[in-house]
Parts: sequence; C-alpha cells; structure tokens
Amino acid sequence: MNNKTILLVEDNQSDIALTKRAFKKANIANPLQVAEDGQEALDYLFAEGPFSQRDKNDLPTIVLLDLKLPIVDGLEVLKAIRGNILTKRLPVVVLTSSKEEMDLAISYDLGVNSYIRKPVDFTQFAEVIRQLGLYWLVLNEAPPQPL
Amino acid sequence: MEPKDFLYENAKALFNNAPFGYFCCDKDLVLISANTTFSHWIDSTTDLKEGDKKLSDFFSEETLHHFTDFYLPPLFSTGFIKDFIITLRLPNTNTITLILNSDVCRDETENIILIRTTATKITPEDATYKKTEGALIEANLQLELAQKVAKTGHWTFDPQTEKYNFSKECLRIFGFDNDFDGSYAMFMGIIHPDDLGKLAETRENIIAGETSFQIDHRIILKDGSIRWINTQSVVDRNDTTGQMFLRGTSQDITDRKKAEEKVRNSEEKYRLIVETAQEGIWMIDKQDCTTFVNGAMANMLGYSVDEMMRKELFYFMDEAGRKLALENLEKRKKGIPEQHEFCFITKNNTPLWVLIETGPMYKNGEYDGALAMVMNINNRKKADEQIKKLNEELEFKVNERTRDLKVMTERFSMAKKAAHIGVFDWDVVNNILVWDEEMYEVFNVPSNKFTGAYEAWEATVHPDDKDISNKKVQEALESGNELDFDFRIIWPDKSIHFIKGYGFVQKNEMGAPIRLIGMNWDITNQKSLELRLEKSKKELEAFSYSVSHDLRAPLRGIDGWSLALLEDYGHLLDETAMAYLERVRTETQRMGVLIDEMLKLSQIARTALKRELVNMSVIANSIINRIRDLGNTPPIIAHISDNLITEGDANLLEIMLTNLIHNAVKFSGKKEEVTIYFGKIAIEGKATFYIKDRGVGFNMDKSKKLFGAFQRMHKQSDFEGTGIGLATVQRIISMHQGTVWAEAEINNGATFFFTLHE
Repeated sequence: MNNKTILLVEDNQSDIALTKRAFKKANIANPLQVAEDGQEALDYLFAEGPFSQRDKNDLPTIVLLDLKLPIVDGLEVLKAIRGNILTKRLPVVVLTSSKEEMDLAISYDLGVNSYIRKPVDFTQFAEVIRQLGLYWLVLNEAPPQPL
Repeated sequence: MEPKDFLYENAKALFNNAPFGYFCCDKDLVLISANTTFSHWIDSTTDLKEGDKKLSDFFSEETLHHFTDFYLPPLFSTGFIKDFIITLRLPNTNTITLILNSDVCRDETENIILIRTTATKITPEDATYKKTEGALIEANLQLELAQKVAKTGHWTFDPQTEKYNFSKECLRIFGFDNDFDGSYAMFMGIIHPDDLGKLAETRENIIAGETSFQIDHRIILKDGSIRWINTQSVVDRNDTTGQMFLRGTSQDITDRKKAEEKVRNSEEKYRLIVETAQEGIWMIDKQDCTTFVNGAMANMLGYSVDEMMRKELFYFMDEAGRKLALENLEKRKKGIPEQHEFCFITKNNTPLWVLIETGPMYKNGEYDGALAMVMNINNRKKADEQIKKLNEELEFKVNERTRDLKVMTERFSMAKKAAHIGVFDWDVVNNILVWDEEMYEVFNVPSNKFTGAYEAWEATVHPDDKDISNKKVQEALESGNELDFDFRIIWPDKSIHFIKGYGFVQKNEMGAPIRLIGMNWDITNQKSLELRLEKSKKELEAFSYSVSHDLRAPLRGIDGWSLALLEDYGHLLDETAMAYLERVRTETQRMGVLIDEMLKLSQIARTALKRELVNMSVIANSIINRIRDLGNTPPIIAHISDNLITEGDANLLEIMLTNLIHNAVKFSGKKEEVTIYFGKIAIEGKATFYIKDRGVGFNMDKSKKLFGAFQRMHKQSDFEGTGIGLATVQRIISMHQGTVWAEAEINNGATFFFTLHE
C-alpha cells in the first residue's frame, strides 16, 4: 500500500465524515485531501488558485469524485482531468448516489476508471470503501508519470 | 364572112329570139347556155350565157325535191323526159310555170355531159287546156306539201311483180335516196329485225284475205338510227283473177313514239319513285279515306297496303292525334300546305313519330283530298328524347356536384379558417406566388405589402431557418416529393412564429417542376406545448436525479451515524436503546429501497420502446431458474406453455414478467411447494396471457388499487414489498398497448391476465 494522497471530491459534510470513518475502519491511512466543489478539485490538481504553491507534478494516487457538485459539477471535473496532459492518466472513481444511465454513460465516455454507487446502508458503504482501497491502493499498478 | 358562118349567125338569131326557151346545163344543173327568151323569162337583167348560175337557184325547196325525185331519175335512166311541168321562183318573187322537154348528151364512155332542154311557158291567160293540167299540177304540189308536212308518204305495191312505187315523201320517210329499186327484198332489208315477224304476219293475213291493215314498225336508217313507221293500207282485189294491188300511206311516227316512250318512261319513273321511296306517300280523298299509300308508308305503320286502303285517316292515330289531324285537315281544305311533326299509332299499338309534308289536291277547282309525304323520325325522336333525358340527368348531376362542391368548399374554407390554414400556389416558372386570405393572417402580412413572389415569402422566414427552408423547397422541386417541414417566421411585430409547411409539386410532361401548391399554418402553440412537454420531461429527469442524489444522501447519513453511535457508544446504551437505533437503520434502508424502486418506475416511463420478436416462454423459464438458484423458496413447479411469442421490448417485458412471477412465488411462500402456470387463452377473441398461482390470493373487493404505486394487499410482516411491482407491470403493459387485470380469491390463488397490442 503506497502512501500517496487520496483526493475526495464531495460537498456533503456527512458523507465526508462517513467516508473518512470508512477509510479508518478499513485501515486505509493514506492522507485524504477533500475538495468540496469541482473548482476546488481542479485548482488542487492543477496547482492553481489557493493551491498555486503546490507541486503540480505531485498528483493524488486516486480521485474519488462525486457527480453532483456546486460550481463545477463532477462530469466537468472529469472532462478537465482527461483533457489535461498531466492528469489524463489519473485514476478517477466516480462515487455517487446517482444511478442515472446518462451519468454512467457520460462518465465512461469521458474515461472514468470506475463507477460506484454509494449504498444507503453504511455497513455496505464501509465494505465498498474497503474493497476500493484494497484494489486501487494495493492491487492496481499506478499509471506511469506523463513525460 | 363564110356562107357557113352566115348560116350560123342567122340560126343563132333565130334560136335566141325563138318563142320557146332553150337552155343547156350540165348534170349538176349548172347553166351553160340559154337563149335570150329563157334568159328574159328567168331574169331580164342577167345574161345567163356565162354559165355561173344553176337552174336549182330558181327552185323553191319543194320544187327542187320534185325535180330531183321525178325529173332527173327518168332523164338519167332513159335519156329523155317529156312534158315535165315545173314552177320556177324568180328573183322578183314572181313565179313562172314551164313545160320542159329534155334530153342528154353523153360522151363516149356514156357519161352525161349535157342536158338540153326546151321550155314552154304556161300562163293562166294562155291555154285552157293547159289550165286543167295546171290545176292538177297544183293539186299534186299541194298533196306533196301535205305529205311532207304530215311526214306521210304514199305508195303502191304490186304483189305480182313484187314492186313498190314510193312517193317522194315516202322515199324520204324510209330513208331511201334515189337508190330504191322498189324491190320487196330491198324494202325488207331496212326493217328492224324485231319487227320482221310482225310484217310477215301481216303479209300472211293479206294472202289469207284481209282487205286492209294497219301496222307500227321500225326501220333502221343508213346512219343506224331507228325510225318508227305507221303504215295503213287497203288491198284491192280483182275477184276474178285473184290479182291484188296494195295502196297505202306510211307515216313517220318516231316523234310520237318517242313522246309516248317519254311519257311512259316518266310515268314509270314516278311510279317507281312512289313505290320504292323510303318516305311514305299517302293520299286521302275529301272524305279523309285513304285512296293511295305506298309500301313504305304501310311498312312504317305495320300494315299492308291493302289493309290501309279505304280506311279513314283517323283510324291510324289516337285521340290526341285525331284532334290535331282534324285541325290540320281544316287547313288543307282552306288550301294551306304545311310541314309538321305528327304521331301515328302503328298496328302494334306503338307510337310512330313522323315528319309530314302535306298539301291539298284539287279537282275542277274544288278540294278533292290531300297528299302527304311522310318521313319516319321515330329514331330521331327517341334520340331527341334520350338526349333530353340525358341532358336533364347531366344537369341534375352537375347541379348536385356543384352543390356538393360548394358545400365542400364551404366546409374546407371554414375548416381552413377555423384551423387558420393558409393556402399558397406558386407558379415556379414565372415565380408568381398567390396566397389566399388566410395566408396573410398566418404571416401577419398586409396583402398590399405582399409582392407575390417567392422572395416575398422568403423575407418572412427567420434568418436561422432561411437556408434550411430554401434547401427543403429546392429538394422538393428537384425530387417531386412532398414538401413537409417546419420553419420559423418573424412577424412585423418581431414575434417569432412556428409554421408548418406542407405542399406538393406539379411537373410538366418533361418532368420539370412548374407549380408548388400547399398549405401553411401556425404551429406556435403546438410547438410551445412540445417545448413545455420537453421542459417538464427535463424537470422530471432533474427531479429523479435529485431524488436519487439528494434524498438518498441524508438517508445514508442517518444510517451511517446510527451505526457510528452503535459502534462507538454501544457500551453506554441499554438493549432497548440499541434496538431503537437498529429500527432507525431498518426504516432508513427501507426508504432507500422505496426511492430506488420509484426511480426504476420513472425510468421505465422514460424508456423508448423497442420492438422485436420476444419469446416470453424462454424469459419466464429463465426467471424461474434464477429464483430457484437463490434457493430461498419452496420447490417451484412451473407449467409454462411453449413459444408464447409476442412483439415488444424484451427488457421491459422481462421486468414485467419478473414482477408477476416473483409475486406468484412470494404469495405462495407459506405453502410446501409453489405452482405457477403461464399460458395463453382467447378471451373475447383476443389473445390473452395469464400467470396463475395457488398462493394466498387476495380480496377482490379491495383490488381496485391493485396496480397503483405503493399499494399493498398484504401486511409488510406477512409479505415484504414496496407496492411498486404491479404499478411497474401495468406501466409496461400499457406501453405495449395492452391491458392487465387480476382475478383472485383469498387462500385460493390469483390469476393475472394481460393482453398486448390490442
């Protein structure tokens, strides 16, 4: 398990806290960076605005992206990530309440790596997070750094 | 002077001054010389010695014939003639009568070269003896004249010598010149062959003792023409010797015969005309009785000629005809001819329409009946009536059609007005665009500002729609297909209107478009409804989206924090508090399920229906197998008919069948085994599918809300469920134009029937 940052893009405080709790229960200790809207997520990733001092080559190991976000919505964020040479290979997992087919289709069209629907039952949610961490942080080989 | 000459001179003087006339002429009667006496007789002023005058110059026509008939022939044959009396006409219109004694001189070949004549003048005061003779001559001349005028000649025939003696006129009548030798054979030679028998018969009759005869016969003249001769004769008989002598006259009756022939011919002609005429000819007497009808007339009426004769005219008509005929006959009696149409009644009692040309006939100046030419116009009359009838029918039809057309036009224009449909007619070739009144309202253009060309229409079109509109029109013109498209126009008040354009193209025989005719109407309201529908669909989607997002998120929070409380602070709570928290979590999760189910239902409603052949038997079997695989139900006995095939959306039909089969299994849950039937029957002629179970059933009285969302027939504790399943089933079946209903009895199973594509 690497030690790299996980970027959680989520505006719901309850969900943020519950997600952190699930990570903790699953013994995932990677630092969790939370962006509460789409713009903040993009600023963080491209080291712009409030994050301009950040090294933009230091990318998170995975982005957990909610779709329904203020300012810039999740699909726009995904589009921007895939559209930038630095971030185009960055693993992005949509983690959302939506089961809309349109959302699923567009997400995959835009090149999402995985699409997970958050269950209401927290026990199940915690299990999803555990498996997600196991897979993306342990089993999955990270993409090479772009040139 | 020689003594011979002296004698000659004296003789000449004596000769010239002799009391008788002397002259010489050649055989053509040209005078060669004459003594002074003769010269003085015939012309005191002319010296005839020069030989330039002919004796015949002094003859009247009659005299000439007499001379050539009776003087020359005996002179030429015998060489002399004696005491031939002749009257000469002198240039001063006087006449002299001479007694001629002539002889001829011939040359060595016996040709006559000279006629020498001495003439003695006879005067009334001269000799009494000669007077008598003169009267005889006169009578002869008169007879001759009379014969000539009457074209009658006289003749004698001596049967003993078989010789004829013809008078001059007789010779002429029979066409003989001086060449008639008087023989019977020569006479018979000119008789028309057809009349030879007739003459032979006459001859036999005479031999048998007839004393007179009369006969008409023909002769053939030298020029081939035919002459009719009437001969009358008496036969003189010497009773003792039996010798006969015939005297007779022969008359040229050719003219009379010709006239008779002509009359006969023309009578025949008229008779033929009357008999064979196509027109009827009808004659009545003054008592109105038929005195003559021809065959055609009788035929027309279906009678024979004999049947019609002596019948009253009125016999051949009906009462109305009789009245009319009486009036007409009054006119005839007043002498008025007339042409009119009339209707007779035939023997077969059918009407006969005729055209009559009729006029009165008179005898001794008094009305004696009427004559009519009658033409059959029955066919014409029938044709006239038929034409009249056809015309009336046609007129009626035209009126009817006109009325229909008017009604249709009115309806059309009312419909047009009510629907605000404008009609346009574009002459493509000349670019003349004609709009009806409604068009001006549709486009909100005053008619006086419309230029009547394509560009005038184009100018009204929304700039964004101009290109596509022009393209659509061009495509229609090129392909000849119907024009059907929507476009926007901008009214003068800047408001935007949606217009539906529909039209078709007319082409000429070369296939070039010449006319585009069609309709335009304002569909702005329809469009705005469509837009609103589209908008509300979007809103529904947004709502569903937010339901799935925004409503589920707090639920997860409630569940999550309840669990956190249990996990982190469970040791501070008693069992009841822990149980309450568990209930909070259960209800929360149930609500999550409800929300999911509701989303599913709304998603189905928004699905575009596919159409494909679907084998529902195969789908039902796989559903049951999946349920069996879960292993949490009693054994399932499925009776599924093979090949329950329909057309529809396979995914939706599978969702529908899954719901029904799950229900069937679920509500059989308390039995030892589950029995399910899936089949097809016909109900009221419609193919109807059914799914039947032997489960707990339900109360039919309370089944009204069976298919409503969230409606449940059982307690949650008895059977789990959200009440969405049957609502989904109904939604899917109605999307397939079908109906679903159920029959059930408590504790005796339920049957769900459904039809598709009614």
